[in-house]
Amino acid sequence: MLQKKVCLLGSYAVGKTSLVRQFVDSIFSETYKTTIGVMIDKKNVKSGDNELTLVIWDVYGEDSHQSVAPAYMRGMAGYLLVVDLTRPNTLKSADALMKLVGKTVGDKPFVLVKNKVDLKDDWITESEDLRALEAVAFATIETSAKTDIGVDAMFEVLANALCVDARLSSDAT
Amino acid sequence: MLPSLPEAVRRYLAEAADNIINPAYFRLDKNNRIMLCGGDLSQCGVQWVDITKPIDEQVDFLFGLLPNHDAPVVIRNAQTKREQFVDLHLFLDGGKQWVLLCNNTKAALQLQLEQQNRLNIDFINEKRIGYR
Repeated sequence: MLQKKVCLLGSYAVGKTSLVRQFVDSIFSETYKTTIGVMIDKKNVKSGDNELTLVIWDVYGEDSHQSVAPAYMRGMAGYLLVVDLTRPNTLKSADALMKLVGKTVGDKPFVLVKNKVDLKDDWITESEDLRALEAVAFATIETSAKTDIGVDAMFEVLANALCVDARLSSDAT
Repeated sequence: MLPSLPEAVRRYLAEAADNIINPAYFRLDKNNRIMLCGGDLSQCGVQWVDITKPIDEQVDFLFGLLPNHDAPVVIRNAQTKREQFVDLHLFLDGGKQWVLLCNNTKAALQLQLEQQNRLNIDFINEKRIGYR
């Protein structure tokens, strides 16, 4: 079976680990526990008629004291770029990470993940940063790790993006 | 180890390496098959390996990282299983690929505690001054 490494990238406390725990183990915890380094999981995902194995790297979040080390992106085929629209600063961080990916491993397909849709009433509604990210993302999806909305779908959409990317690459050669 | 270091320091560092970071290693051919392995593999998140298969097909956290033809690569604090943190070092020596794994659990858990406290404060500050 085809296997691909994907990363979850984003600012701290946007819910990256909660999304993976919901996807892999179907659990959610209200308690915030910061990620050190990277947590690695694996799960099969359907993409149309194909099934592929995702090796999922849940990378620590960016904050004012640390940025993500490029080494974590090595071998990555695509990524989920996670933002929390109750915190507009997470969009700046997402933009910086997208640029870092391009510089480190070249442009890779990504799905923009607007997490915490259960708090949608508190989301910002207008943002130039958001529009710019949406314009270059393979897709944008609203999720909630808490209420399990869109979690499976975001990985399936990313798997689709990887299959499209692989087809384009093979067509080019 | 640097020859200029006094013997006592070198001995201390060697003991620390054995007792604290429980290193494990693989030497790989160009197809990522194991030519040599050893050290404390289980303390570094590797339960068993089949030497007839490429290592990155067996050890999930190495998938995508090999082969390494470049400068040394270091990936800090890969959580290979619950509350087990490993530093991954990929380097070349004499044209052969090496993977060195060092258990870093104790330091990582301490770092997690410090980072948690710092981010809790950052959160409070973000709320206080407004997210914008």
